[in-house]
Amino acid sequence: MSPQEKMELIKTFQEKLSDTAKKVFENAAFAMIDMPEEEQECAEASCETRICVMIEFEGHFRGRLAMSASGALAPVLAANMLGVDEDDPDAGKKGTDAIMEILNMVCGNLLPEVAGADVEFRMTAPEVISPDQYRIFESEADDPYSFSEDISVESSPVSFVLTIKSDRDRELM
Amino acid sequence: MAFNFLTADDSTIIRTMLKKTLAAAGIPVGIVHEAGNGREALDILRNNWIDLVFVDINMPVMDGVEMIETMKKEDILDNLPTVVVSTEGSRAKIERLINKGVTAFIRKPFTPELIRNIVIDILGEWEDESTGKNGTDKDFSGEAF
Repeated sequence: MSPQEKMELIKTFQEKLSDTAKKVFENAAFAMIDMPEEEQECAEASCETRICVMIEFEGHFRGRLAMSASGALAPVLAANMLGVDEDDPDAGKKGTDAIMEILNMVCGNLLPEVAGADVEFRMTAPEVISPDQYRIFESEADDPYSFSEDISVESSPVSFVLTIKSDRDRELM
Repeated sequence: MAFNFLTADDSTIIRTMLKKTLAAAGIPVGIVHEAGNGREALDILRNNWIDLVFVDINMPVMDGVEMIETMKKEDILDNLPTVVVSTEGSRAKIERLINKGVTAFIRKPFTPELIRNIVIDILGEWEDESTGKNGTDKDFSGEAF
């Protein structure tokens, strides 16, 4: 894949990520999503407990999608997905699992939106990563083949970092 | 009459969602067995009466495709209704699953109505003991494939 093709790919991902995430949050967890009104809202997120997860994919191209969400949002999403109250023990126990499954759905629905339904991808299972690891991914978002996007879910900040990996990465693996 | 189900998915929240959806949909549910991967699911299938299987594609140890292929090789499991519940968006991969004999495909995220609709389509009608009405008299919408 040429550098120009990769740049166009990243642009398409940027256009599609918010819409896909919105559909998944609304349909899977009945959660409202909008763009953060103030930059400060997401800056404050770094001070609270975060749940960070990532998934890798490989097919016509390969890359990684990571997501970071507030620890307080996790039981809300779990409760909505399970149809129980937020103080239900199941909601508390399955918060991280809810975040992982949301990322799985976002990535699984995003790839055919970007590459078309005829392209096959293999996705890894979602895995929890440390906030430090997530910050490393965020710092790589200045790379031309990576970008980050912040959204607000139920007035709680959620961020994504998407990276298209280079052919050199493939050679090193 | 109650139906027994198996949900095979490495996500505990999806297994719980399916279990709660089945219970809330007015479907007569007996036992809902749970498996975190294809190998666990096959063990359950070989040792229990199951009426319908929900299976994810991407699972550790043994994925859903290998699990379905194994089911098709075993006489006792060959005709068991199998519904794939996955984020999979590749048309070719979905068609391959249909050709392997999968009964229905549900793309995540799903709605409870869609699950109920498909279960009714597959298992047929049943008498609602609480109302005396038939299960298919209730309002629902959704689609398979």
